[in-house]
Amino acid sequence: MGIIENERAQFMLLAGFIIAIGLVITTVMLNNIIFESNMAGEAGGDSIKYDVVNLMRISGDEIKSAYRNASGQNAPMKIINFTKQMQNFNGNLSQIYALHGEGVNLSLDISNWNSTRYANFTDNGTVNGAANWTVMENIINSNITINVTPILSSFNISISNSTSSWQINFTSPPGNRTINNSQIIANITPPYKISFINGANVSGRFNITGNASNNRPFTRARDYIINATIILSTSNMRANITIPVSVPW
Amino acid sequence: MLDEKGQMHTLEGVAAATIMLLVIVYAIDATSMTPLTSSTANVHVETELQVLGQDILGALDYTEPGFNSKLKNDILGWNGKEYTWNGIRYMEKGNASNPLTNNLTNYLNYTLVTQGIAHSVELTFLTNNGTSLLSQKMIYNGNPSDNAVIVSRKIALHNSENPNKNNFLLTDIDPSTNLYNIVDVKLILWRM
Repeated sequence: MGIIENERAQFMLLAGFIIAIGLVITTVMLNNIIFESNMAGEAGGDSIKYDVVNLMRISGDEIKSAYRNASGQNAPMKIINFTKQMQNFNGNLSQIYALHGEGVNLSLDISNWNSTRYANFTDNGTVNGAANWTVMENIINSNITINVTPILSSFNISISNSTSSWQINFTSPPGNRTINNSQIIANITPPYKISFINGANVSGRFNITGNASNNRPFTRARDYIINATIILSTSNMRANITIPVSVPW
Repeated sequence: MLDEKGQMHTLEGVAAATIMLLVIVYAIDATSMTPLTSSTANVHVETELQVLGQDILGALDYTEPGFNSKLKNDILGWNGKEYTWNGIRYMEKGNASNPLTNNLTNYLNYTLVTQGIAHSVELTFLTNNGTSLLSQKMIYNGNPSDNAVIVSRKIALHNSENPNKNNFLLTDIDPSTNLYNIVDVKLILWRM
């Protein structure tokens, strides 16, 4: 009896083998597609936020520096010199940012300074800022000079430590007061913190200098709020941001 | 006459081609992806480096009112010389006895060096009253790869800080005001 040549089983085996291999390939490729889709491929595009933050920071610092520098000069020259320094800063900054293919422009609204409209005693100096806020913590000695003009509603400076507090109330004139370190330590044991309470409805200037717990000197001062409008533009985005900058610090 | 050999050969050919394709797919997946490979996946590595670099510069540039940031103090204290990492410290090029030790090198030492991330630091500032630009290398560790990441921070310097005390190439671009110069600090990072 001769051998029966039947190749159907071989066909079936081969077909099964091909299907199995095809499944493996499909799975590997599908896996690759899912992996690539989940990669943070576009996250690199967010780097512009660092440029915006840096631009806000360097512009704010320069405004403060130019104001402090101009403050020491006679009255008519103050704003002229301030404006000149900021214009030069703006022009030079544009060249630095052009290195990275970015365009910048800085414009300032100094109407508050021009009109002697002092800042509110809020955290950011604007009427909408937080009315109750801590100016400085962990102070061991300080001197406070404050000028509230005018006193339209009750305003408090709260100096407190972990166990007690001393309230300096501004409900009636004089709004111009100096609280020295001797007065403070007679009422509060260091280290203490200085907070402003109900600062939204009153405006004026303050200057607080002293030393923190680590003997590090500090200065917190504010006369005006200068509104800075910063424009940063690249090939695919444009940011237009207005920030309130507290001067001199 | 029923002859299935041709059909069988065709099927065997398809099977062989499929196996070859599988081998190629596997080989590509296994060997081609390195940190320096340009691909979609490399963007992930670049993003990590970018975030790390920005965090380093951001931490160095933080300061409270009335004080210079650590980064600014490092720029003011730098002598304009080029330094290279020798495996232990950043040493001056051509003068192995003069190391660079400042806030920036401390941060780089604790972050990039420990992770084996190659890096250079370059400063660009304005010269000739702000009409041209000049770049100086503070730290140079070779030419970066094609996939290097650059992060930068701009620092404004003022006359009162005496910026050219140590680096005479830093010139006053605005003698009429307190603004002295604007420095672009570039940190270049790449995987080896």
